[in-house]
Amino acid sequence: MRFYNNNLLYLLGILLLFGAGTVFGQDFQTVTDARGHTVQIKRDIKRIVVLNRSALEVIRILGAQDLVVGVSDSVKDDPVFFREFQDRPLVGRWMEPNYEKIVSLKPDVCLAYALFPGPELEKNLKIAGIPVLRIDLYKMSSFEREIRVLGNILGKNEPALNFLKWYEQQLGLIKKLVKMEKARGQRPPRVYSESYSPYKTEGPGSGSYQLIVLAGGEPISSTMSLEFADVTPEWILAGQPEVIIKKVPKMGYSQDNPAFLDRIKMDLVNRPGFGAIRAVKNGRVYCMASDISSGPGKIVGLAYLSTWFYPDIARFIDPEVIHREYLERFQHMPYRGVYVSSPGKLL
Amino acid sequence: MIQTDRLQSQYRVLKRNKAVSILILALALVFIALISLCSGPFSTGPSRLLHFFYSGSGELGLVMLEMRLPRIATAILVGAALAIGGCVSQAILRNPLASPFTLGISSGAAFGAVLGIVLLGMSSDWAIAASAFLFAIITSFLILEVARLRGSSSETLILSGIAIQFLFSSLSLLIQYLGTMDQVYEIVSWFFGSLSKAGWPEIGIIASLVIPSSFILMRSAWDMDILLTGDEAAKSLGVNVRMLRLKGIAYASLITAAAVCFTGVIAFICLISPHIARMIVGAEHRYCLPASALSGAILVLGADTLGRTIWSPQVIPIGVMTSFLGAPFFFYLLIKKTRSYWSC
Repeated sequence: MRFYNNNLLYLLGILLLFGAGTVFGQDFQTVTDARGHTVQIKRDIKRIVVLNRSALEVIRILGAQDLVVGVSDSVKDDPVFFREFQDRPLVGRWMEPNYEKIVSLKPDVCLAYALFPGPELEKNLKIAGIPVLRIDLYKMSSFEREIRVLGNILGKNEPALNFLKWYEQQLGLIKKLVKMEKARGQRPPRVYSESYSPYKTEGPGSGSYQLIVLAGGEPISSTMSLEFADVTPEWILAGQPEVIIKKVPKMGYSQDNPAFLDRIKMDLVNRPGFGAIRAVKNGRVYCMASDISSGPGKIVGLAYLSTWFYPDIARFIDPEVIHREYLERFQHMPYRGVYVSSPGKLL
Repeated sequence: MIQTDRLQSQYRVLKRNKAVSILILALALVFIALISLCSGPFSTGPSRLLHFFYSGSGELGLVMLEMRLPRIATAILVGAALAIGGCVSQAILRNPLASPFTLGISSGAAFGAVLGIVLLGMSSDWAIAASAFLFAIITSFLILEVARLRGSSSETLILSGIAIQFLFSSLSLLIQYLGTMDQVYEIVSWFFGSLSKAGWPEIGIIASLVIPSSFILMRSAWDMDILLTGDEAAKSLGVNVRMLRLKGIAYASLITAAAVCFTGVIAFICLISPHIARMIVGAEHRYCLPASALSGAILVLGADTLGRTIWSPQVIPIGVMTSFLGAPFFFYLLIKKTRSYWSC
C-alpha cells in the first residue's frame, strides 16, 4: 500500500511539473534581441510600452496601435506624424524613462533601442516581471529579422509579411538596377556621408554606411574603424567625394517649407574649402530628413540614394512614388512634407 | 658696492635666462606649427610646403589657406587666450587652482551653447557661438556684481564662481535632459571641443578680442606681482586691489568667452599652462603671461596635431587630447622641479 502511495505521489509530481512546463511553454516565447541576447516574452501580448520611435512606426505598419499603452517623449515631440499616440501616457525620456510610470502601466513588454536606455532598464523592470525587447530597426542587415520578430510577438505575422514582401520587392528592384548600372560600366561614386553634426561621418557598421553601399555608393569612410567619428575638412577634400549626403535630424513629414533642407545644404557647400570638392562643384550635394534615413522609411532613402548615385535609375523608379505608397498603404497617412533638398546647385 | 654689482649682474642673468626661455617657447611653437602645417591627408613635405609659399595656389594652396592655417591659427589663439585667462585668474585670486573654469565662465558659455542648441533650436554655428559668448559675459557680470556687493576678496570671488559654475552646470544638464537624441549628440560634441568649425572670420573675431585684452592685462603685470604678496601689502604699495580684481576678471572672462564660444570647452589648458610657465620663467607676470600664452598655444596646437593624425581619418577630440598630453607633462615638471615656483 505504501509502495503504491509513494509511486502515486511521484507520478503526480511528474505530471504537475510536466503540466507547468507545458503551460509556461505555451505562454512564453524566446526571442533574440538586437544585442543577441535572448528574452522571454509572453505569447499573448496585450499591452506595450514603446521607447523606440521607429518601433512605433512599425507597430502602425502591423496595425497594433491599440496595444500601445505608453510612449516616450520623442513620440510626443512629433504630434503630426504620431497623431494617434498623443493621448497615450508619457513614460518619460526615451533614454531615461520613468520606471515607476512604466511599471504602473503593467505592460507585457517594453520596446527600447539596443543601447539606450542602459542596463538599468532591465534591472528596474525585471522586479515587476516586465521583459525588455531591444530593437534598432535602423540597420539594413538586421531590419527584416526585427520586423519578423515584432510581427511574431505581437501576433501580426500577416501584416509583417505583407510589408516585408513590398519592402523586399522595392529592395530587390533597387539592387537589380544598381547591378545593371555597374554592369553597364558605371563606376560607383565616392560618397561622403555626414551625420547630424558637422564633420561627423559614419563608418562601416553604421546604418547610413550600409544604406550607401546597398545603393551602389563607395563611402570614403571605408577605412574607418569607428561607426561614428569626427573627421577633418581636409580629409573630406583629400577624399574628393563625388556625392555628399547630409543627414538632417528633423522629421520631414511635419515640414511645410520646401526651403528648410536647402538652407542646410547652402551652409554645407559654403564651408571653407568645400568649393573645391567634386560633389560641390557638380551640384551633387543632397540633404535627407531623418524619416527616410532610418527606421522603416529608409527604403525610401535607399531609393533616393540610388537615383542620386546613378541618375539613369530615375527612369525606372520614382522615390516619391515609393514614399507615397509607404505612407498611404502602410502608415495609413496622406503623403506630405519635405524630405530631400532641391537638386543641383543652389543660387 | 661689490655686493650690489653682483646682485645686479645676477638679476641681469636671470632676466636674460627668462627672455631666452620665452624665446625657446616661441621657437617651439613655430616648430610645432610647421609640423602641423605639414601633417594631414594631403602629402606636404618641406619641398611642397616651400612650393606653396612660393606659389600659394592650387589644391595645396586651398588646403593650406582654408583648412590647415585657420586650424593652426585657432589653436594658437585659443590656447593663448585660455592660458592668459588662467594666469590672470590665479594671480588676482592668489589661488593656484583658480581659472575661468573655476569662476564659472566656461560653465556659463556651455550653458549658452546648450540653450542655443536645445531651446532656441539654433543650427548655425555662429548663433550657438553668440549664445555661448553672451552667457559667458553674463556669468562674469554676475561674479562682478557679487564682488561689488560683498567686497572683492579672493574668497568671495572663488566661492561665488563655484556657486555659479554649479548653477550653470545643473541648468545645462537639465536642458540637455530635455533635448532630443540629435541635440544631445550636438551638445556632447560641443563639450568635447573642436577646432574644425573656426574659419578666418571666426579667427578675426577671436583675435580682435584676445590680442588687445592680453596687452591690457600685460600692463597690469607689475600690480599682479605685488598682489601675490597679499592684499594688505599690495594696498600699502599703492595698488588698487579691488579695481585690479574687477579689471582682471572682466578681461579674463572676455578672452575666455572669445576662445570657447567657437570651439567648445577645452579643459585643463587654463589651469595647467600658467603653472608650466611659472615652472619655466617664475611667477613674475611680465614673463609669466607671455610664457603662459606660449605654453597654452603649444599644448592646444600639439594636442590638435596629434589628435587629427595619430588615428586618421578619425579625429580624437581636442578636449580629450589636451588632458592626455598636459597631465603627464605637468606631473613631469612637478617631479623635476623641487623649489617653490608660486612666489615671485
